[in-house]
Amino acid sequence: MDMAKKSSMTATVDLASAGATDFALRGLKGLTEQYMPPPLGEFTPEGSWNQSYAMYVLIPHGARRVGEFTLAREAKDSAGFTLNVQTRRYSVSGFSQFERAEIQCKNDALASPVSWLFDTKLAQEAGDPPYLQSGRRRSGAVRDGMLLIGDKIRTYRTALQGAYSNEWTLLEAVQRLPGERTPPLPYTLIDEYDLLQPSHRLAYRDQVVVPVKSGSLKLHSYCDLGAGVIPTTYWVDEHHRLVFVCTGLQVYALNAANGRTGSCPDRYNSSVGPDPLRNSGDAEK
Amino acid sequence: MPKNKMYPSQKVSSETTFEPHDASRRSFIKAGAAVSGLSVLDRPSLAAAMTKTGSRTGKKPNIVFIISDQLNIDAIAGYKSHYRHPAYGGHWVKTPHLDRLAQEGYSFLESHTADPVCSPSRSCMFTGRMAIETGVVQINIGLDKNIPNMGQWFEQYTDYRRIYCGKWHIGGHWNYPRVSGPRKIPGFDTLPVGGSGMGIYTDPQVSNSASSFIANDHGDTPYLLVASLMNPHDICYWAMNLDGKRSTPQEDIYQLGDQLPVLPPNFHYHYKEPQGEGPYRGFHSDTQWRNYTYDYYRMVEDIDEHVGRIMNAIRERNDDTIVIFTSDHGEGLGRHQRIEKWHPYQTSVKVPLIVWSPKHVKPGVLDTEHLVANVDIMPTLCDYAGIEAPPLQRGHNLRPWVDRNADPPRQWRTNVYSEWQITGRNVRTKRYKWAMRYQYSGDFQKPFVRKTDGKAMQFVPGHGEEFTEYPNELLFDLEKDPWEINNLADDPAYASVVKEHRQILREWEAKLIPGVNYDRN
Repeated sequence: MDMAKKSSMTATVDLASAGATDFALRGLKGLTEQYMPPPLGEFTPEGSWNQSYAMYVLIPHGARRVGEFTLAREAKDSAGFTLNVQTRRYSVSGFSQFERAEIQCKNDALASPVSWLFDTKLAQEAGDPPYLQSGRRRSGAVRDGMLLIGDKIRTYRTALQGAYSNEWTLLEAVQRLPGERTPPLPYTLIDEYDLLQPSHRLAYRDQVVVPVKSGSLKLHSYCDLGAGVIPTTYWVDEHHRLVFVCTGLQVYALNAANGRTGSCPDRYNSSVGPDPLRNSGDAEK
Repeated sequence: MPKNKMYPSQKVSSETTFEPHDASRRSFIKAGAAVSGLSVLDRPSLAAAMTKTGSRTGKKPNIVFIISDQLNIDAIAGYKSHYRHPAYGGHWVKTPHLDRLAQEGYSFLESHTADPVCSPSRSCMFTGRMAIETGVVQINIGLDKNIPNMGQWFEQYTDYRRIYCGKWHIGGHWNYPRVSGPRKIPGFDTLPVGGSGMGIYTDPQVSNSASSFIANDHGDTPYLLVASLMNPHDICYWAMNLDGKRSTPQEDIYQLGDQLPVLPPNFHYHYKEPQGEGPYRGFHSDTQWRNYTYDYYRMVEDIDEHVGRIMNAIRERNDDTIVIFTSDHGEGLGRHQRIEKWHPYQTSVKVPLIVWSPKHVKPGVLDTEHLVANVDIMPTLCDYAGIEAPPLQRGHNLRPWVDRNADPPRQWRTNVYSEWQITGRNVRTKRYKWAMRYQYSGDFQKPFVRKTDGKAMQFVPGHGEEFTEYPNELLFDLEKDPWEINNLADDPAYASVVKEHRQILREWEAKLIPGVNYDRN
């Protein structure tokens, strides 16, 4: 069921003067004015789909696009699914950091990962060999209350008790949550693919209608608090599709889904302050 | 009023200018000798350097130098037993990886940056010289070409591979080095990360690339790997981006209530400070300050996991590796109502410094006795690599303190010195911290270092010497007043203490040789 049908009230937000509950949305000001979501309709979060996102870092002048990632969900059975994640972070000298992961997940509220393979490298193109010993392939798994991270030589074990999720699988999980009926979800975060951050709590936050270039979006938000992460807000549309994520100084915006493309600007401006990266050369791809 | 010059007059001839890509040991020594009045023959011989800690043919330890940016020394949870006040950061963070590093390594708790600003501090770490000497007295200035950086020095005298990954910020107006061209760091190969000045974006690249490099190492020759992380420096953009512009003054933006850190006891203070300083006025309520502090500690936890990833890779290798962990400076966090760094207070000047090596280093030591500074890193790492440090080092080798089997010297320095905001000077003795600021004229940006066109420095002679301008000094008794609340500089009972610290400054600065050839691209 669409969340829009379940919600009794929504409010259109003026991002320039948004109130307390819309604090995190102000990081998107400028992006939303130029943003055109992919032309999409109904969405089955439990099915097979793929989504591509633009990555931005916030700067006082607005934000700059610095990378991209793709999520590809493959439904398997009622117990679980596979999530493929491919990330590219633009770097210097024409290089990027490339990450790929294939994650076997449970169909639970937090998309808890069961086992995964992941690799990372610095290269100019995805097909290039790793530059200067920067490539590495590892595996991860959670078994018997332990997080196991290993490579072909050895495996690291760290205690992991209770509910848990992962930085990337959370992006899938919030698309299956039931909106305002979602109870607070305490858990331990597996940050990136190999690092633990305890004491997290994901909770439903609020609903807003945000004007975008192509009209407006009805959005529901979830907020995540916990160790090692600047509070993160996830916004899903009325069909539960994840549209925006904002964590501190970093923003993700949905750019394409199932082959249909929207429009994410390379940068966007706000009216606040100078750009600390201007002329620094650090924004070069 | 006397017209004493701050530094000994000197002239560096064009023939001693060091060009990084045709470097030779002789050119470094010649440059150093020329400015110091020494002849080349007075410098330690290469043979002597090689025999100091073993022959060059023996396998040397790998060296991993991990740098964070703007990390307060008290923001490591493992130091809570030392930093007991609830306003210290260790009470508000979870840092299991840094805690373990400290448990297994040797921590200096009286550790100071030589300049609490990114570029100047890094110039001191990588050369062993003071910022006024490297020419990097502000951000976005390149190192004086006459002064070798750590990579160049190791390139000349060792068979170490030298790899740099992450923030550099002492080449000019850029942060992250390229793999070639004018923005490559002389002496280092580059793991090319960056693309944004934000730690949230670049630090995963740094820790992944550095740990992969370590994991893939074949062990045939030792390496010097610098993993230079950006966070918790992102907090700088919090103030620019999120304060009054994006939250209302009383708004607990994350609705955290008592989970928001408490304000420090020196949040309210009443004394005047050396010229140009003052509290930050961009936040309009205690709540905004506490939100700021909360997010800072999350960035600290983020750094902790990146250090953990690198350390896991090192531990997996189980080979002979030395790790040094530090930060370029601290963070204000509302202490004296400051944000960021720049200023003379302890929160800005104190930095973590941990030396780790299961083979070489005494584990679990919290050294509260010895005053150390980040100019000590260069001579320490040179010693581990079995070579003499470059000429005119301002720091000292820490190895006699940290090594399991070393014989510590009976005497150690009684003071450390730091520069701040170009014209500010700190002298820290065991009990006191004294700060002053020279009067100056001219433009604020880069006025205090001569360029090769010969333009003179612009200190106003005598003002710093005579201290006639009030308020120009701060004096704190750190044993009684660790939060630096009571300025004693104008108290007649402390006149002799002030006089003693002025003299220490004069004697120290008489040694220093201002940089002349900065601003490399």
